[in-house]
Amino acid sequence: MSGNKEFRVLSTRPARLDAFDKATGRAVYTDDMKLSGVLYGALLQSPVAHARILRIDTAAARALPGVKAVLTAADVPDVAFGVSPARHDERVLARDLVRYVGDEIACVAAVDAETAQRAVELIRVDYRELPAVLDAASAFADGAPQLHEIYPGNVSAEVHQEFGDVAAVRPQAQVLVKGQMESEMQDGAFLEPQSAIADYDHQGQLTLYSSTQTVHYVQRTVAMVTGLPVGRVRVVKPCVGGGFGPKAACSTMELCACLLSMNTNRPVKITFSREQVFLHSRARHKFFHEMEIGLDSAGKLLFLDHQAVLDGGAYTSFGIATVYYAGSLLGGPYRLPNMRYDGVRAVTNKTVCGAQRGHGGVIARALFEQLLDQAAEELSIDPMQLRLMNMMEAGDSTCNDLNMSSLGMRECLQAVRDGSNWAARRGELPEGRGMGVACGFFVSGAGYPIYRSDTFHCTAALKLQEDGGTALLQTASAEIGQGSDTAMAMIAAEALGVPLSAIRVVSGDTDLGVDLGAYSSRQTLMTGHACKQAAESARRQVLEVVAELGGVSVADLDIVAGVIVTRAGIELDSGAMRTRYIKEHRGWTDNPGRDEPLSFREASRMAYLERGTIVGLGKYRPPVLGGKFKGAAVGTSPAYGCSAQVVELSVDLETGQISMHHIADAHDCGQAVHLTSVEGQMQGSVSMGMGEALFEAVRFDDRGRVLNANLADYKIPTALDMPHIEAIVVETSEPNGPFGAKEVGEGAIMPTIPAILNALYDATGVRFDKLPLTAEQVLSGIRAQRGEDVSRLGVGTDAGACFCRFPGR
Amino acid sequence: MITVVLNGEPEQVQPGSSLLALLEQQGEPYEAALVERNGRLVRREHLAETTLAEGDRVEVVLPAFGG
Repeated sequence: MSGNKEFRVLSTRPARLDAFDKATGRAVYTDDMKLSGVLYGALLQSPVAHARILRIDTAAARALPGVKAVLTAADVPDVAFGVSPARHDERVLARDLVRYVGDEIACVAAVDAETAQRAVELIRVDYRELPAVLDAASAFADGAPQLHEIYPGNVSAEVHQEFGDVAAVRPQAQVLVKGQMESEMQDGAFLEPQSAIADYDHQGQLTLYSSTQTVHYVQRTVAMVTGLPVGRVRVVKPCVGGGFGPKAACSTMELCACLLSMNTNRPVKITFSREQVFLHSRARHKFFHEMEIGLDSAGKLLFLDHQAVLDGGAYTSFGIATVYYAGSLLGGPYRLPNMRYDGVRAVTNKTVCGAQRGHGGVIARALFEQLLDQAAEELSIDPMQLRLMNMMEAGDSTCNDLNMSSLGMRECLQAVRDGSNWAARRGELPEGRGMGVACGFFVSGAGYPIYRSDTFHCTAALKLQEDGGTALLQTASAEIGQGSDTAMAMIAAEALGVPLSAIRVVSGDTDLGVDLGAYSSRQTLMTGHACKQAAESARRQVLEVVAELGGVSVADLDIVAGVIVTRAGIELDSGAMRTRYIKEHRGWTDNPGRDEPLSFREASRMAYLERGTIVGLGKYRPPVLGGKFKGAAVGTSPAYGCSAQVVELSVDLETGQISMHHIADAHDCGQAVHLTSVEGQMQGSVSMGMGEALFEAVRFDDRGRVLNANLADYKIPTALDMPHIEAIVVETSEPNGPFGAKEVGEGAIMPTIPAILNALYDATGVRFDKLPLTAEQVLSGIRAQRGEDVSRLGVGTDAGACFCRFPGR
Repeated sequence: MITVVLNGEPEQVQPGSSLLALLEQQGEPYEAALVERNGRLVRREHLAETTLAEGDRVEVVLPAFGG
């Protein structure tokens, strides 16, 4: 919408830096890499959900020709690792117990992948099976088997928070609405399975190439587990084919590749099969939510009372953050003065859940936005209007102290209202066709690193090439397909004052600096700050030299579109610089003409000749956030992106099949950097949210085995499933963002599921509280509405049992 | 003095010290954090009345590390 015309590079649509390589197949992913002398690794994973390991016999595997190493727990460091240091609950290889189908027991390196796999099959393990805990309700039951000594009651994380006073305000509410929501575990469903190549050389340097989102954290975990000094571990991220969160934590597979390489002194590659991607998971938790909201007679929100139970699988991974975000991300974007939240995360003998796009907040938002619609109906207020009435404004803080330093939420809502023709169409659609609206927001980067540290969250260096004219931007940030390299190049180009073509990028390598990586929608704001600062530093150094040589002050100079310009009335004596440049380039065909203004290429060459290599450095660490409470830093992010969507769909009333027709989707990303990438993130978010609403569920049998560990049985939307998405970019200026930019990667998924659910209600008059919305379930709901006999509708017994975890509520 | 383990590191405190006293003494941002003693969450309102014992493991987790 309101594009900022003062920018020359930002808010445009250049071809992405990686577009041609990816379109032509030249892009190199980890599994494409070929290192000389490479061995191939394979993992032995538990076939049972919960068992004590009695004996492991590797003799036959070791004797197989072509096998170079077989490692079990006895051969690897007994070091606990995980995501948060407060929850280091994983070991590289299972020592005594296996806790889920897929838990790693042994690893093998061999001359080829087939031999490695054959060796894995030759390893004999004797198990004594233990009773498995396969759902949260069972995990909390009296006498339940305990998965970990450190998690009594099978609780790996819990959060209890109250902001304001829910009990005090509840009697004032004229409208009370309650609801429940249950979802299923979901898979990240990225196209590239995880892959790693570790190369331990004769100097004792370990290099790990990995399809990771977070080279920095992987480097630290590898150093911690292997015992190598962190400076001896380099992690490099080649092209990555999507991550969405599950690739944000260091995996056993990466660690096994490292340990096998150290054992054999040869490079070792391991690539997950698609089945292993599902078993490893670290994707979306299974959530149960129960909420009550209260509003006054005018429709003003008074409180939210919220309980959540998360089924997290066998280990914690990102789970502490997940259970926290499941509550805290409902603090906005509406003015909500009182909020109480109790969340608990169970460990169960299933695949491990972690972070996934919209971390923790997606299913909570799906329920909350339905309750708003129900309240609007009770008050006979248009749901769009109810949201607008309660909307926060830029500068407001939520009751849990998240400061909305910019917030184009109202503009987003108005944009989708107009984009969907809401006023004319809603309520006028035929039976079986409906429209629904929802909003949401998300952080622009986590406020703290995963480990307690004052570390900068990112560093950047912009090195001007000595011959002049181009600049090399170096960061450790993670381009995982979202377009971050191009976005960082655009920010650097804008700050340096040159065309995008003058910037080259190298990234995703711990040798290049510190960057916490691609998670929490942090790179545009955080890495963007570091890149901007690095470019500004380089620019200043160039202009200082030009000022010295040209007899003017730096304040009189600027670089615009690759040309040195002067303030009005100031004359730059650039003749000597030009002559010097041209004399150096005798015979070159692209030398500047005599009457052309001094170019950046000439100026940066002069800077090199006078000062040596010019390098601008940048860094970023979020300021202390929040502070409303005594001694506290409460706010989770320097900024928040926000979204609104209106979905129009229809339902076949005889089959329950949903057809999506149109989505009006508006997102406030602050100042857009690369407009096409912003739209791409919005469309991708809708696709993912739609899949989670309609199709996606990881199914387990009664022994904890995944039944649909492939992309044939686990359905995700394809291009053919997608409705027309009208992506509306709302540009605000975020005061805490580089050039005003903030996130788009995750906030854009928040409204999709609730907008679908609200549209489904509009179409059928039925509220659904269980995801995904299979045709079977939808049909059951429709038939129940008609008074017909149906087997099941809504939240099952599992959810009811889970909420017994909060007996006082 | 007794020894407790705060965020993985040993700390000496006076016998009878409360969990709240330890957190304030160490400048921990407990208002924004999840405070755990021996693996169990201690609600904010109970920090002052929770007395530390020899060997207690205290973790102060800033949960806003993910996303």
